[in-house]
Amino acid sequence: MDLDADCRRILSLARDARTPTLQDKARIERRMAVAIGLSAAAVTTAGAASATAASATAASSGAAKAAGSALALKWALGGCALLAAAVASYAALSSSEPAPPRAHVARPAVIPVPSPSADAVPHGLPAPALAPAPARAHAHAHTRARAAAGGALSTELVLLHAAQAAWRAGDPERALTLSAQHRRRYPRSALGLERDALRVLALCDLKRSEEAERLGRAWLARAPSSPLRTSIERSCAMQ
Amino acid sequence: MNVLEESSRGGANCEPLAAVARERRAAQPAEDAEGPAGGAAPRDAQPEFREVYDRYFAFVWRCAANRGVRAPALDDVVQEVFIVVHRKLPEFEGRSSLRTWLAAIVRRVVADYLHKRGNQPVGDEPLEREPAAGSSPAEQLERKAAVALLDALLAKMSEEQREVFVLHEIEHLSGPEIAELTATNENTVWTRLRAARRTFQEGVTRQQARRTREQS
Repeated sequence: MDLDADCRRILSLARDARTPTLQDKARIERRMAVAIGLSAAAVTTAGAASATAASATAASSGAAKAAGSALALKWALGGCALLAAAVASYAALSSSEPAPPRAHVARPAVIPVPSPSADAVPHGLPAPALAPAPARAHAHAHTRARAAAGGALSTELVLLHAAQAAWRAGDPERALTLSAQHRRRYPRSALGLERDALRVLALCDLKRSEEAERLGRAWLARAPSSPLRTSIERSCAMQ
Repeated sequence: MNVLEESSRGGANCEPLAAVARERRAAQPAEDAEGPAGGAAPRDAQPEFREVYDRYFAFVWRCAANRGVRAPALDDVVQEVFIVVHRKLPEFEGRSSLRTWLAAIVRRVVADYLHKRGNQPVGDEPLEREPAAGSSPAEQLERKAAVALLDALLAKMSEEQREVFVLHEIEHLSGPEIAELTATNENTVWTRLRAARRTFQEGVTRQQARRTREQS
């Protein structure tokens, strides 16, 4: 049997009603950019811990994996960042090539700057990260041109990125300060979970385990289904 | 309601409905252009993440929503799906269509969420977080009613029938694609689809008869 015209109309209306908006798409893109960055960083940190107990060969392998992870991030989220409008910060980040595999394990060199504004998300730009060098250069020039052309960066995202960058650079104190600023300025931010996950990880780095545990438990209760859950569960907060 | 929902709801409420309608259309340009029978990636091309995200975001979102994921958890589920896609995409060999591959990931991620929550529906709030796209309140109501009716009739189907119905009638996956996704044969797919269509058709007919009685 086939469905009649009324059924088809109802299906079409329901499909339309459940089709996401560009705002939905941009919001998930922002959250994913932050989530992937934090997850990869947490994995790399765990890799560092295991590397200390393992042989030099194993450590090199872990480092290669970490670098590969960073490269993958650059590929995937370079595209996100380009398609988003956080172009100026991204161009600054992208100006250097990903670090080659090193003997020691470091946090990923690339954390994306997510889109600052759903309204400013342009479409149809190529994702250039794996393209040949001339294409990359062209894309970067294009990116810089867009940055020069204007488009205010979201202060919120710049602040969150700065907090991430500080943490990545081994300055958890500053990461905490910046994330506290973010919390004060944007108490209802859509990126609140990602910010607080960063706080937990930074507290762990500072050996403030009790605070990390308290915040981590509250975070897990708040976000039982977040993709960042594993990172928090593996942190000092839950050990 | 979490902050994500509050912020998105608040933002959308401030916008003209026509703008929301435009956004919805713009959120899936490539997917629509591909047509109902499309979706197979070129066998010799490795799709890029950006391309997959742009083209299939709406598909993934609707698949998760139509599997019972409600608004508070929908963001998390869709985000998780694309994180898996990001991780697994280099392994995608083009043996199946991209849509089948993505639908399989949605299937696993949703099942995982449902399992974690003791098979309770994910989320507590209705899916519709913002006024549905349309040019008039009447159209908004019509869309809302259509979603409510769809959900009510999906709830009357078995899990297998519901899955086939949603994938074929809403997402336009082909019989062979659904057979591959559900690890069953095509005849079984069509049998389930027939039963699901009967349930849906009967439900719509009943509802319209009721409405006619009420209006007379």
